[in-house]
This record gives sequence, structure tokens and C-alpha cells, in this order.
Amino acid sequence: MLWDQFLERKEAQYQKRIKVLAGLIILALGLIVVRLGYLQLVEGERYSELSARNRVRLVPIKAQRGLIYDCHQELLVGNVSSFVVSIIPAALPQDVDARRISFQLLQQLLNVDPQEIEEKLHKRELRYYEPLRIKSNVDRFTAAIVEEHRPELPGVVVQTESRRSYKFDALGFHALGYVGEISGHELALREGYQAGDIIGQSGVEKIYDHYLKGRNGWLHIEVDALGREMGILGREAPWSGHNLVLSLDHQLQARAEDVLEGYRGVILAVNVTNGEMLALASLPAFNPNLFAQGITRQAWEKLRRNRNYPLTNRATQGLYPPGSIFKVVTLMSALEEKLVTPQQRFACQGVYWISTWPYRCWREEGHGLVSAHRSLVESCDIYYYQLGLRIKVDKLGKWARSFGYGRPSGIDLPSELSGLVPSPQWKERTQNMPWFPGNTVMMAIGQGYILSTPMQMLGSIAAIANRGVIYRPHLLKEVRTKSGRLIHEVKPEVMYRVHAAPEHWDIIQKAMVGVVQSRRGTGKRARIQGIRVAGKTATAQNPHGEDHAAFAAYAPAENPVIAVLVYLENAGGGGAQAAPLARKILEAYFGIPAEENLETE
Amino acid sequence: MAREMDLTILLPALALAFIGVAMVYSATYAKTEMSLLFLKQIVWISIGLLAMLFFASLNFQVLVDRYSRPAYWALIVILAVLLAAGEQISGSQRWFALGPFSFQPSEFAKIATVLVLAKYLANRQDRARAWTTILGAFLLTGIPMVLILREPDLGTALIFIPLVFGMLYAFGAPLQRLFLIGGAGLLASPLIWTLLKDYQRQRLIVFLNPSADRLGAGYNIIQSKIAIGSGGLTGKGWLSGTQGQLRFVPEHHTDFIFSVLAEEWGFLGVIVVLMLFALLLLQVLRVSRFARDLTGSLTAVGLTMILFTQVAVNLGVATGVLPVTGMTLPLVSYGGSSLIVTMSLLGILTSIWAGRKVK
Repeated sequence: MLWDQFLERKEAQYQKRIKVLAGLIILALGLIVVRLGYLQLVEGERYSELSARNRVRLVPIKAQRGLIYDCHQELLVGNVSSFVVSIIPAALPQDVDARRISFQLLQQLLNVDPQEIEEKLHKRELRYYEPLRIKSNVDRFTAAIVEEHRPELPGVVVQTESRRSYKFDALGFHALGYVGEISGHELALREGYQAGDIIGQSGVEKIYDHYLKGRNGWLHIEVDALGREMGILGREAPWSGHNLVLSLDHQLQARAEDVLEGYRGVILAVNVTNGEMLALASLPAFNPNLFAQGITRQAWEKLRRNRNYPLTNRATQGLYPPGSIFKVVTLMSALEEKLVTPQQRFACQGVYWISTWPYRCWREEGHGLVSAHRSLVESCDIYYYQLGLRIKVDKLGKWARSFGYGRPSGIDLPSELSGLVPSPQWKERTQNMPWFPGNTVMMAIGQGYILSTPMQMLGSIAAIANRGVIYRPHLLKEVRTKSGRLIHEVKPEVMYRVHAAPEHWDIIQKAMVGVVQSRRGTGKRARIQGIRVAGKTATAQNPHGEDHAAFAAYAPAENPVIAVLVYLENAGGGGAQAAPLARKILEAYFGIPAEENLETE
Repeated sequence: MAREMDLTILLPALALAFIGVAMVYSATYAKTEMSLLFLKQIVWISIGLLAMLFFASLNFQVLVDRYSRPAYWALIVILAVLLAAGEQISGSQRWFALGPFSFQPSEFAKIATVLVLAKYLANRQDRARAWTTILGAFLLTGIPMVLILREPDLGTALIFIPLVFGMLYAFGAPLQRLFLIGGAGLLASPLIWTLLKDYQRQRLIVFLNPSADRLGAGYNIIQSKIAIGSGGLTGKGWLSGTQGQLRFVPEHHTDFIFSVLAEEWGFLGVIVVLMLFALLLLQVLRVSRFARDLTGSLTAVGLTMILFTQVAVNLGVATGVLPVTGMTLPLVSYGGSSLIVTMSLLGILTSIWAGRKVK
């Protein structure tokens, strides 16, 4: 047979070639085993991770932001539900015309551009079953209308989310601050935040964000290749943020903003026995609810460029000459440095010549012979010019700093400024000019180069009230969990002490009582019924126009509990303009009905 | 009959088929809807077993001498008609409907070509070295191959190449002539590029650079590799493979069933499956050494090459070393046509084995 002949001739070669083919099969399968070993054993872990990432969609469950209360447990800042309209791409009509009609209806109801929706849809690509947000902060009424139109809007869903709500709108704006969505920049800078998180942008909201924000939870949703939800794999519950109890008294705050209405300026009130801030009013302000609802870029830019600077907290970021409020510091330093005795008197004729320069007193006709006590009560400038000539600028600067000028007050607010206590070195460095004796003379009455924040002025008055003991001013009293457990309590903290002889404190305190209570005192408009008030007026000249009117006070004079500072930009005389406002705050604090006759005296 | 049925072929084949049923069940398993595909697969296996029995009991000589040539030419006519009709309907026209059944003539064309080629070569064994013999073999293979390529079914068409080379090599054709033809084929491959449809070209481009089309054709390769790799050593367990269950792996019960298997059963599981395939392939190749005559022997070589190429290409695609060609994994993938053809092929091999010379 042919086969047999073939095999006889070629048996060996044929068998060999079959074996080669067998070898080829084993080799190919062997290579596949090697490849599988590489994929499954060497790279297995990486692919496991990829497959887990494929199938699990993590949906954040936003933590409820902590609430903010005032010292009477009155809710100042809370959260409310707001509505979000989203679309589920897979459920939209497939037909182009039907889709256009439903997008046009959405445009009518929500004022969203159909073009924008299409663009968002285009970017989404594969995840057809995941809701796509098209409009946030929809009000209840509009949400109800959208719900009503649901049959005509296939694929449109209305969901709720939590939004920050400021109960009294702009009240306490500069203390409380506002919130906004975290920016890409902040996200890169800070740990523990996710894109889309709400973060405090200023005030207490910002500085205590770590207490308020809580921790987001996560929903682990199993999805298929189309993003369709197949089930829930797990749930990490969110942790609500902690609640803050502030030392602010919302009624006193409301009174302060009420009387400040129409001015650009500040009214501050602090409990001098522990540093708790009772009121922190800075106007103009802004309604932070508008931020929480989402502000347009144009509106934001307009707000930032507003020449009245509504976004600046004047209490910590406004820089002003302290004016005559600074005289208490000048007097104390002169007494302590033994440059003057309490009884020593200087003559005031309304003008004082230093070589060829006339330095004027605010009272043109002069005060006559002025002692330390009268110099404060009647705020005689020429008395302080004399002290300014005797004291070395370094010494005056040292005392200014010991009263809190030139450094942050330490209040729990972000971006506080330090102000400026000038020195010869500073002047040479920045202006390339020597320090003249006249500079010290101007500094002695709180004018010239010296700049301070209202918080610093308040601190210096609190120092007088406490005879040198300064508590750190603070807004926060307590931090409590959602269930009310106390986790942090702010204790009074002595920040610094001014060391001075008791008789010197007596002199200054008595003089400050005289400012308000004596017939010739410049601050008599701050008198209230039944309680003796100590204070100091200031009328600060400035390059921006009319004088700034200021008044600093503490009461009761014998046993001080509260210090108040009123600072009004370009408002005129401190005694005439600022002192009545301080009176109203003190009356409100002590619960004394206002008596009009005192004002007209 | 037991003597004729070679259990070393039947048993690994049955084992692979039932692993296939388990994988089809898992791949189409869903918590929400009941899929009956695995039951259909069992029906296909039963029909396949009947086909295997039928071909095993058929006298191989009769099959080759009487039926192979008419079958070969009939299939070529069917392919040509389908192609002409398909041109008008546009798109791919691989399926031929015969009453309630539809089958892919290209699947049967492979077997018919092997039989005709074996017969042709056996008749010319005294002219094994002649160019005419070699070119005649390529012509016999080329006709159905080009028709199938135009269908277009790149995967099935490519099987003809190892088939003809394997058979010529075993037949004793001079190696340098085979290399010469192979080299010429490579040089002519730009010509093949022009014969390809756009989507076939796209697949080749994507294979060379999967990230070029991450969500389209490249997606298949990436997701298949993730499925296989995430299986690790021991796998995620039957019915627990997320890549397959959640449909990240496309065509997970047909072309990419191996990815589901590797994900759920891990490296240990795929070793078992690969060993079963190795056993099966070596056993069917062994038939060629015991055949009664050269026609039977060469048929065994050709059929082995068909099976081997399908296994190697399917696994190569799943593991990302070969471009996506759309080839099923014999015996394991879901699909009646593929199963029945593969089991018929095993039946023919059994028939050759049964007719072996008893020494």
C-alpha cells in the first residue's frame, strides 16, 4: 500500500515532524501559562485594585455642619434643606426632538441653558445611571413645580441637600463669617477635605472649621459597566460637625448693629473679667445667606471692589489712629518713667510752639494750667505734647506694646492685623528719614504714624479697667457634640500684664471716670442711670476726610465687667458722635431704659 | 464501540464542555433576571455529542472519498452566494438560515478544506517536493479563505493559514519552500490590509496601542486583563467575579469566557483548564501517528491545527497578547454552531482512530 511505502521511506521524518508540532502546541500553551502567571500572580494585586475601583462607586454622604449658638443658646447659624435638580442621562428621551422639548421646559422653570446641559452630558460619557447636577439651591416653590412637571421631564430628579442658613442674615457677619465650596487651591493646601466640601471662608466659620465640618460618610454602591446601581455594599455613616457656643450676646449684637446703622465703623464689647466678646459689630456688612445660596462671579467681584469694604472686618483689619484713646498710654508711661508727677501742671494756651512749628490744642482758647487728671478729663493736647518732648520714643513704644498695640489682640478670628507702633528704625527703614522730636509729640496724642485696630484700642481700655491684667479676647465659649456633650471649653487666659504702680492706675481710672461723670468731661454723653462709667473720647485726624469719632469705656467704674469701644469713620467728634452710641450699648447691657434727657443735657 | 471511542479524547472534551456550562451559567448569572443560556448550552452539547457519535460511526474512507469534495464545493458556493447577498444587505453575513437552525458555513468550510486537502496531498505523496503540489494546496485553501475574509470574518479566515502550513509540514514539504511562501505572504500582507474592513483595521490599530481607544475597542482588552489579573492565585469564586458579573468584560459568555473563568477560578483554575486542553490537543495529534493511511493522518494534523489555533488565539486575545479577532474558545464558549462543529471534528478524529491498523 502507498501508506506503507510512504512510511518505509519517511517514517522517521514524519514522526519527527509530528513531534515538532506537538512541541509547538506545548510551547504555545506554556507561553500562555507564563503570561497568565504574570497577569495573575505578579500583577494580581494591581488588577484587583482596578477591578474594585471599576465596580464600586463611592458617593459621599455630606456631614451636617455644626450649629452656632450665642451665649443664651440662641441659634445663630443652622442648616436648612435646599433642593437640587439633577438628570439621569440613561433615563432621558433618546429622541433628539423630545429631548430638546424637555430641556426647553427646564430652561423655563430653572433658567438653565440647554446648551450647558448638553455639554455636561457630553463630558459624562459612560456613567449613564449616575445623577448629573444641573441646578443647585432651588427653592421649595420651584422644586414643587418641577415635581409637578415630572411626567413631561423623563430622567429629571429632585433631591435635597443641606445648606448653611444664617438666622439673622447679616447680623454678626464679621464675627460669624460665611461659607463656600472649597476651592482647588484650598483643596491642595489642606488635608481632610474633598472636592465639593463646604468650608468656612471667614470669621468663626473659618477659624473653627475643623470643629464645624464633621466628617463625610460614604455610600459604597456597586455599579455595573454602565454605572447602573446593582446594590449597596456598605455605608460609612457621616459624623456631624460639633456645635459652637459663642460668647456673643445676639441681643447686644443686634443693638450694636442697630445704633451703628448708617456709619462705617465698629462697636465692640468685651467682658473684661474673662475676655469673652459680647458684641462685635463692623459695618457695612453683608448677608452671608447670599453666599450660601451661591453667588455669581460678577456679584462677588462687585462686592470685593466696593469702596466701603463690606468684606473687611474693621475690628481686626481696620487700621486707624487711636487718637486721644492713646493718651492713657502716654500718661502711664510718663508717670512710670517718672518724667512727670500727678500734681505737675502744664500751661495750655491753645497753641504750643516747637521751634517754628505750631502744635494746637483741640480747644483753641486753651485749658490754662492742666494737671494729669484734668489732662485726661478734658483731653488737653498740649499737656501731652509736653510729655511727648520729655519721653523717649523707645520708651513710649515699649509702653504702647505692653498695652497691646503693635501686636494682634489674639482674638479667635482669621487674618488679624498687628497695626503699627512706629520707631526711629522703622522710619529710617521705610521712609529713609530720621525720627524727629515732632514725631514723638504726635505719637503722644495717638496721631502721626501710629496705627491700631479697634480690637487693640479695646484691649488697652480693658487693661486700665483690670489694672493691667489682659485676658485674651475670644468669641468661642464652648464646643459641644451634636448630642450636647462638652468637648472643649475656653477658659479665661491672661495674655499679658501691664506692671505699674497702684497709685498710677488710680490716677488714670479716676480721670477716666471724670471724662464721663464730671461736668467738664468730654465723654459725658456716655453717662447712664445708676452706674458710673469710665471712658475716653478720641477725635482722630486722618487723611481720608472728616475726623474719626471714637469712644472707649468701661463700667461699672468701681468694679468693671464690660469694656466698650465705638469707632466711627469720618463721623466727627468722639464725644459728640461716639459717646452716645457707647451709652446705648451700656444701657442695653445693664438693662437700663434709655433716658433722652441725659443726651440733651 | 468502546474500543473505537478513545476515552482520552472524549473525557477531556466533556470536562471542558461542562466547565463551559458552569462558566456560561456564571457569566449570564444575574440577581435580577434568570438566564436560561446555560440550559441551551447543555442542549447544544447533547446535539454535539450526537454529531460526534454520528461522525465517529461513519467510515472515514467513505467520508473522504464520497462526501468531502461535494461538501467542499457546496460550501464554497454557499459562501459566495452569502457574500454576494451580504454586499447588498450590507454588513456581515456569516449566518446561513436553514429552517429554525442557522449555522455558520465558514465553520464547516474549515473541516471540508482539511479533508479535501488531506486527500489531495495523499494522492500526490510521490511528488511531495514539487512546487505544483504545494501551490495546489495553497489554492485549495485560499479559495474558502478569501471568501471568509470578505464576509468579513478575520478570525476564521486566519485559521486556514496554520492549517495549510501544518499539513504541508507534516506531509514533508521542503521547509525552505514553506518559508519562502510564508515570507511572500508577509510581503503581501499590505494587500490583505486593503481587503480588511474599517473595523478590522481599527482592531489591529487598537491592539498595537490599547489606550488609543480606551472606551471603544481598547476597552475590551483592558477590562479582560483586569478580570484575569484580579483573579490572582485562587480566584474570586464561582459566581463572584465582579468584572464578568457586572459586565465590564464584554462578550463575557462567548469570546471572553476565559476571562470570567480566570477571574473566578484564579491561576489554579486556568492551569487545570490549560492542562485539559493540552491533553486533548496532544491526544488528537497522536491520532495522526496511528492512522490507517496518509489521508487520515494528514486529516488528524489539519483538525488538530484548527483546534490548536482557536485555543491559542482565543487565549492570546483574552490575555492581551493578540489583537481582538472574535474567536470562540472551543468547547467552553457559549454557542451552538461552535460546539457542534468542534464535536463533529472530534467525531471524525475518533473515526480515524477507530479505523487504525491493529498491530
